[in-house]
Amino acid sequence: MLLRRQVSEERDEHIDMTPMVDVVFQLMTFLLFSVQMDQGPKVEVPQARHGVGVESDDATFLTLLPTGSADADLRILIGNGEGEPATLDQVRKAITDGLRQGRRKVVLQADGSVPHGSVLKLASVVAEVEGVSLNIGVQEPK
Amino acid sequence: MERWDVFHSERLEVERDLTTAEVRAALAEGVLHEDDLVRPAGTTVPWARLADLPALLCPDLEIPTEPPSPPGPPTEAPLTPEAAETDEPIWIDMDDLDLDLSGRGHYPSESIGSPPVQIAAHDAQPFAEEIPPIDFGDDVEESDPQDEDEEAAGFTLARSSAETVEELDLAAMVDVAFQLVLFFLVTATTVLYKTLEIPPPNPERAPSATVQGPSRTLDDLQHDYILVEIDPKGAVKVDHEPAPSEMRPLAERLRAARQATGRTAMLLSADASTPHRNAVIAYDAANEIGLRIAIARPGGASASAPARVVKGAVPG
Repeated sequence: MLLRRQVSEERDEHIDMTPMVDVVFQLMTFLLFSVQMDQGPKVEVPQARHGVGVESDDATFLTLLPTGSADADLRILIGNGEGEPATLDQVRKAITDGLRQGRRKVVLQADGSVPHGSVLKLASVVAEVEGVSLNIGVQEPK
Repeated sequence: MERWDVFHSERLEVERDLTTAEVRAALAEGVLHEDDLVRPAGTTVPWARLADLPALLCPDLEIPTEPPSPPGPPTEAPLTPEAAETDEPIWIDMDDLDLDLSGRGHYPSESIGSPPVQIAAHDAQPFAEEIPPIDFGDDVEESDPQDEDEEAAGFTLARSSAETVEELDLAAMVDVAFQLVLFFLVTATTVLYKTLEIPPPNPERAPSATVQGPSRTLDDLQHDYILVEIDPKGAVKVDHEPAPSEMRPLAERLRAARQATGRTAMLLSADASTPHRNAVIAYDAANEIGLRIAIARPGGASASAPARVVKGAVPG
């Protein structure tokens, strides 16, 4: 005679994992499409401990590349480390356009070796547009 | 001449109407064994083992006209059919099992399906009472050896192979999938860019144009601000005194200055040619202890130009 306990044990031995697998694959698909693999600053921004997170959708990104000498013109890119070199007028226009789209922050991704004066020069251009806040891009200390 | 019906317990066959001489010859050839059953031909008396009939084995002895019969009417075996069908495990002493293995051949075809049960019964009862009288007239022909095989196959403990192929083990796949989900979850959190918020400088540019009213010098501002100066090489001065250029010691120095004078804001006056990362060290140190930040417009080469306090500071 089969005892009842033995029968139930036999039944519980295999949990049906198919629904769980379905859910897991759904999650995976969602994350696959939502993740953006080209994250992170493209230039060697300075390290700082007390940086606050800014979502990339909320901010207009400007990149300040090192020029090699303090007297050379600024090398500005509109965007996060990519795009064509831009003039200060184009920067103003980009920030104004971003503000119209609700991006109230400007993230200045300046290379750590860029002179302080160049950063402030670009920052004063940013400050000409009313209603934006200026953020300096940093990275976690390694 | 006495005639006998013989039951071959190994083949489960009945041979009828054998003479005593034939039985002896079969015994001598090994066709019959001592464990095979025998009874007088055409009767329904219970079967008896050949070994229990010495007269059949040895030609010198006189053959009894009747095989030994049970003293009373044959009683039922103690195990009822209901008990045999319930499959309840019956524990058998191994000693009993050893004793009775030699006697397995006694049992007619019906009892072979559950030998342990029968062995236990045999152990408990005298031999003559154990075997119920069974008429083999028709049943013997139907006792197919294949039935026995099927019955034996029912007892197997091994899982059939078809059942195992049916279910794939998904556990490993689930493990890998969870690993992937975790990976994407962790990498998705790096969407945030780390930034330090600083006050935007005053947009008015030409230093000469800013001379409106009394211009405030760094010394004037020192009453309200902790003055932090950075020279082109990166050397730091706090209130005109040399200070460490690493973030944490600088933060401690600023904390001491705040406690000494009660000033709650930092005025950063960095040389225009000093690398940007040195200024960030000062911003970070001010954030560490919660100082507000103001940025003085650098004089650059013309260091004599008075520094202006830029727009309102940002709480750290």
